[in-house]
Amino acid sequence: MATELSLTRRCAPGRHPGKVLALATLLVWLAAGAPPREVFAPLLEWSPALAKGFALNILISLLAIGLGTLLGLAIGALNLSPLRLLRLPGRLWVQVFRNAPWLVLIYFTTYVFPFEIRVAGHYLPFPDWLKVTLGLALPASANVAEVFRGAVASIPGTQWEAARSLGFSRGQILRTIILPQCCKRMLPPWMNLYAVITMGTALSSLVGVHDLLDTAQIASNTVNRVGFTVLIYFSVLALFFAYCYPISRFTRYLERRYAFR
Amino acid sequence: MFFRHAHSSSGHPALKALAALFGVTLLAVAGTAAHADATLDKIGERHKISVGVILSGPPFGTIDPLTRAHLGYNVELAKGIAQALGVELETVSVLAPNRIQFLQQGKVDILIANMQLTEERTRILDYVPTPYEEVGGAALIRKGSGIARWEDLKGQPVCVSQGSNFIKPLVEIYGAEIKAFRSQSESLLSLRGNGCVASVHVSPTMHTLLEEPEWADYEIPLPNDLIPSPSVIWVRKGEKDIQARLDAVIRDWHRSGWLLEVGERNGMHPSQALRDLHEKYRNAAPLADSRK
Repeated sequence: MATELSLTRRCAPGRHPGKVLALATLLVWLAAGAPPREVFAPLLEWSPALAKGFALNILISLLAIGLGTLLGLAIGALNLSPLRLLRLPGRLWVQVFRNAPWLVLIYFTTYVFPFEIRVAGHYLPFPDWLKVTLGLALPASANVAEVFRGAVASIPGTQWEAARSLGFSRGQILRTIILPQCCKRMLPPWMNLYAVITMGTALSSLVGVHDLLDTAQIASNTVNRVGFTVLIYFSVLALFFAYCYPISRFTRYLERRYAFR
Repeated sequence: MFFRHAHSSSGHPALKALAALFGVTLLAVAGTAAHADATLDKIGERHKISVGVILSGPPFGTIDPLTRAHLGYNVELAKGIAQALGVELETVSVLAPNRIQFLQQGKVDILIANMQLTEERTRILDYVPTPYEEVGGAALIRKGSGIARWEDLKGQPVCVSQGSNFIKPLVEIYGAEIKAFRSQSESLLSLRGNGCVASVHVSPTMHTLLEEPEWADYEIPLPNDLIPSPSVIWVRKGEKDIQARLDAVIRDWHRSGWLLEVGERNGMHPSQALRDLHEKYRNAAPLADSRK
């Protein structure tokens, strides 16, 4: 109840730097002389292609975070194992993929995997956007594993001891006491990671996937007007912002909500 | 490259093991991957030709704003090739940095991708000997800049696209200072912002641009194009059969004048070399039927 009250108070405009910033940018832009109609008309014409491009960005980001989460939780579980032999590969995975530049991983998956796979006489295409998804899922999994490890480590050790003294086994403690608390703690950093991955999908344009940025580039080369080039990159920025900003707001809300529990 | 790096940097046994594991997985994956040998066999087997095209903007290639279908000069040529071979067409959008790789790994069967004939390229790829156009570079320059010859660009900043084959002559012959951008539109934006005195790109695009009122303050003052070179279709090294088949098709296009027509329709401003080729082949016997 108390948190909800404090939330309504937080909705005052001064608490929304993002909205204020967006509004200010728009005003400055309008004041600087809004682009004329001949620049907006092609933007409208190109918007279906841009929308499809952005849908691909979102698809890549959702698949990458989904794959990355599944993989990351498995690796996080390995990292918690009491056996050194199981911990080692998990640690290695996390270190390698957390410390590699994303673009390098994307180039790597794009050019290393075959473009098609032959299965029982049929050629199964392995499209580039899927390779980019894999390239982004790798660092996502390493980050999720770290988030998972951090969440488990953040539960006070005394809880383990207390539970053990009540006769719980290690597995029982994890399942019934530790992990339910971890879910809440993991959610904000996990969503942060998702927002970052979404922004990372723009890298796919560098390997020729027709994503939002690539479509914008083709559009700007086709229309070939300087005003339009500026406007279309501004639109790309606005689209990514419109998608990622609510996520980041929601994350902050969750962080506040679970901060002291 | 990855393997070499992984081995040399790893004093750590676990890292070595990981690299080895990775290598084994890759080999397993590569083993199941398709490897096209004779291009023509592959095209015949699948009844489909995969053509790499560059969609760098008109007149060469772009996409439909509504359907995202590939359009433009390169795409029309690809359609013509597929029709002449009697197979379906799949166009794959390629970029300057990845087009050679796509061809070599077999993702595309041929390249119609603004790739002019250069000596370096012939060392790694084969090409269809008869060119379909001749394209050189044109410099877009602000009016009244006093640049009248290519030599006047010495020491001046010049905007180009990354990987462009105009960079070499501009630097080595004319001593220009190169600013390379990811694409043509960024380069032109820089020209307008006075980031450079000239923007050098393929001549047809620059001439198309000048028809726009937005570029009224600019001109192409230099009389001749920079290194006009034959535009050719590229195939994998040693694929002689497809090379011969396509060459017959292209010669027939010169005979019928179809290349001039496609060029005009797409705003390519067909070059003199193309008109000469038409004159050369116009009395040749028509291609009976290129379909087997």
